[in-house]
Amino acid sequence: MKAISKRMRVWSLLSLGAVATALLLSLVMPFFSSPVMADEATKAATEAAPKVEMAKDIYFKTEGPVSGQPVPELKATDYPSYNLPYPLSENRILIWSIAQQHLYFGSFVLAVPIFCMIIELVGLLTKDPVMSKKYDDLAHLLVKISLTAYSVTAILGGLLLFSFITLYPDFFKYISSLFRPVMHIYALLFLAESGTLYLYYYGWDRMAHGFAKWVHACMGVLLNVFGSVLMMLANSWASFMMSPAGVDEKGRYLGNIWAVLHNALWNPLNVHRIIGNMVFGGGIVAAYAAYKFLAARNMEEKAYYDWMGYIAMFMAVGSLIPLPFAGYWLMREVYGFRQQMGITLMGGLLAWLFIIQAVLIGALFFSTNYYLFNGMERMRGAEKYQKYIKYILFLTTAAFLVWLTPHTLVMRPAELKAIGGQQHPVIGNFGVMSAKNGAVNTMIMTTIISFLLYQRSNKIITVKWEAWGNAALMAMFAVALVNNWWLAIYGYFIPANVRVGLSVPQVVGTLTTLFIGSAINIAMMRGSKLTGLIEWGKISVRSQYALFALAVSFTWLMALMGYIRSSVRLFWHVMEVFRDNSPWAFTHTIGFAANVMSMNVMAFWLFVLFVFWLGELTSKHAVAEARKEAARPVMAGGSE
Amino acid sequence: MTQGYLAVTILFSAIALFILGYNLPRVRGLLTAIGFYMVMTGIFASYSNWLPQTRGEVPPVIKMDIGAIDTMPTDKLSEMGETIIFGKVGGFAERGIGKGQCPLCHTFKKGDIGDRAPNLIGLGKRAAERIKDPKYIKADFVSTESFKGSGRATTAEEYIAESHACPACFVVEGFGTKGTNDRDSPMPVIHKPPIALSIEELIAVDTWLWYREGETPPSPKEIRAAYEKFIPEADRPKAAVPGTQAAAPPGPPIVLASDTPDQIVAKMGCFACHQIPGIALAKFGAIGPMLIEGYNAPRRIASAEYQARVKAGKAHAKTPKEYVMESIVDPNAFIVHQFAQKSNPLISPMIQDFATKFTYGGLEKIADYLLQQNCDTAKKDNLPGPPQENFATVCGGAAKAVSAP
Repeated sequence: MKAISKRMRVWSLLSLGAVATALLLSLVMPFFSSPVMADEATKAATEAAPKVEMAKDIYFKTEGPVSGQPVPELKATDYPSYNLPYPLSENRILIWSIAQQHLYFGSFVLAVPIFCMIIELVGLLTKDPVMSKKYDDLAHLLVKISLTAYSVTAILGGLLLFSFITLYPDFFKYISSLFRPVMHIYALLFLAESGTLYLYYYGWDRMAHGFAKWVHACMGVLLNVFGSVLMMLANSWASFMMSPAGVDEKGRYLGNIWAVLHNALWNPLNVHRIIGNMVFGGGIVAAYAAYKFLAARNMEEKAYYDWMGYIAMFMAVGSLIPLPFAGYWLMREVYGFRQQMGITLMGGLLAWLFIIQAVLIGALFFSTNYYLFNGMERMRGAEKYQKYIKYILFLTTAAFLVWLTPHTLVMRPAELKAIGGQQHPVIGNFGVMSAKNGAVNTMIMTTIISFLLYQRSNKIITVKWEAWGNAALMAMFAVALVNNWWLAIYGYFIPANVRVGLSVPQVVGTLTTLFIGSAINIAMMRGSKLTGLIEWGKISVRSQYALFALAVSFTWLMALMGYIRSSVRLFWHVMEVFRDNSPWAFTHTIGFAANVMSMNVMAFWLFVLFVFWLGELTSKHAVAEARKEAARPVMAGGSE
Repeated sequence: MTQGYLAVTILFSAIALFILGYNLPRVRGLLTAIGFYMVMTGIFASYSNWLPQTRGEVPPVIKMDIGAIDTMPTDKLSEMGETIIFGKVGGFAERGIGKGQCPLCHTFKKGDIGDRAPNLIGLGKRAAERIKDPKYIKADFVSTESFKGSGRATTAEEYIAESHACPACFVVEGFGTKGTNDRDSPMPVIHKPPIALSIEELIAVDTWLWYREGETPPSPKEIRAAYEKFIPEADRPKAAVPGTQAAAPPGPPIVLASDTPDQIVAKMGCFACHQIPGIALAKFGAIGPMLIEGYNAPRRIASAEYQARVKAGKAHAKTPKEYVMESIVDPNAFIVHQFAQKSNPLISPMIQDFATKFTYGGLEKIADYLLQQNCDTAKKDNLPGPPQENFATVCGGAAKAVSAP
């Protein structure tokens, strides 16, 4: 790749940034008309209309002119139906399924450009030309896969729109009356994103060198800017339904679109979704790589897809780490908006769904650890660390069992009588938050230990301070684990309001092991002797099923959490403003919801299989070169 | 449970795919992969179907249709009343609190003792007796009529209506504002802000009071006439518009950081018991201390009584702000002895579930506000303080106000 000056890189970044800003500003400007014009408009309105009715914003508590119709009071007959057999007779099941598929594909096509942007940049910054090309080809392949998915997303989006118009006409009329300008901007952004995506993909080879390559990389940034703003606008519709703002108690628009957009849950939802998309996208790419690995006919292909699977897994799990914090923020804001919603989620009707979430998160930890254990097989010299696997597995399993133990047990009446209550005298103690915090932090730390061992599997450490380094690492983990368990036990003896604060030192301990532990480990590996290179492709078939397990757990988790977020509104289209008066306004049982989620998950993966197959039709030649290069062994740890 | 069949079917389908894959080597990889996905999905679905299955039903819509009140069936009217008092139909059993905020002070169940206000069990019969009571007839209270010329109650429904419209027209012995010798009532006027129930809502409330005890309530027309006797036309609040829920007052039911101190005090009903400088509503509460916490809180923490509670592990505040917040979310942590209940000195007469009604931000907001209040601000508002701990006792005399530390 031809070297270019730093100045040109800066210019390319600045010019692309300016284009993005100008485009986005032009879309946002209509919201901020000049004060003079506003004054004139107000004056004219005052003269023309005898009196403007003022009302109070239900969330921001500010006064504003009533500028829209109140929410309609619907009857059961106002919901047109296709009279399909149960459960499709409920319009919401159709909407649920279509929206879920649209969100799955939407998440994938929003996540892949983020990965491409990162991988292309890593390729650009990698000095080794062979590795640089390898990363570049991987990024190119990922965009190719996402192109078909992009079309599917758009088609599903159209289907969702028509479904809303035909199945929930009054609701859609109301929502579109509020979000009218946002919807148009959304459509324009979609055009801009499509154009950028096609330029990004089709310009890949023509912009492969020198300054043009940097412009191309910046185009990846632009693509992500468009994608993220697009997603945020769509998020505002969902968050408005949960935490309405900018309207009065009758649902009448008060003339300030920013207030409608910037409702209580918008930003937490935005952050949570961006991170969630990355986790999900990583999971899909990992599954794709695993499937290709299993279908590979020669060692070159196996090596390439093994490497690809590792990178995707690494990105997915890496993105997973901040996700609980974003989730915590979202939940905190839910409680802040309506405590009753928080209670419905965590201690009421929907609380059992969080036990399912616990099982899914446990599956993610097990899959990741299992994959890393198997990954050690690629490296000679890893044997010395394999003896620790059983201890890691024991700790992870013990923590997982505590993590999924519910506070109250599912029992028959006779069992209930025998135990004397819904809480088991011994394991019932594991159902409380104190135990859960201890358990999840333990699982995270065992996974970190697995990763640190994986990093040093094929190396003999040569730094003089090896003994001190190892002692520091062991001491750090020992202190963090003991601190975590001690605080978990201590939490049983103090009031709940004080106990909540204990999670902070627990998380700090865990993050310390992650960041400081990784830093020490990397420092220790400097100048280390290799016992052997990573032999990509020489990994068990079972490990690829761990990647499948990771992907299907992510997909199910996304369906579950999406369901939880949406169903917390209970019998409201728009929380406490627009009541759902359809015959199916009740909340289904967990089992029913799980069945719909399962069908959605399976339908999605069949779709994905189709999309991958389509991509496969033309990609055979494109990756042939990359596969040859991928067969070359490299060092363990990080992305190489 | 038929819905569980689907999960099992998914698992069996996965097994079938594995068998098929075993017999078809060319597509084995594909079928095994799909089978694996189905196994995982089937496990998650089976587990979810094994958990307790509860369907979330939709509560019935209770409408305030002004025109329909007079013709509404008694049971429906009673349900509306229960919703106004306790927050929802069935709220009586759960001891909820609705728009009317009555359970903040009154009790309703047999055996429940109310320290702040009478138990309302048997009110219909009692009201009919009360109007014959010489203490009622020869009234010696701060108010003797709801408004000039309104006259006194002559029927049970009129007595209840008068109690709502003019709480100080008759005060039950032992429940008057402390220090007034039961001549004044700490109860707010129900048709005025912040509670501001409309006559239609009051009709529903009164209907429930009779109906829940299996008695035949007076007709809505009779109850309406009773209220119109004691509430002058200009003071009558407008009923909710048709289609709105009686028990869902606009605005969040809990305290948010975005609420103003006035809104917080109104929402949580603090004014019913406390006097708070700067809050228009909170001028008459005489059940709890005057909330001048910039002055009170540091002294309370330093007191020997509070430190004894700290030693006992019951109280934990180290700063005035922590003290105020603790007092709200854990009122039993420390009870100022002048305000302890005689029947149960370890349990504060304060509402016990504020911890579930405040967001952290909301709690901080009101704590910050209360910490800004001191003897000066109380003096400015001419707040007398409750008799148990009046302004003079706390601040050293109304004439010489003491500055906050």
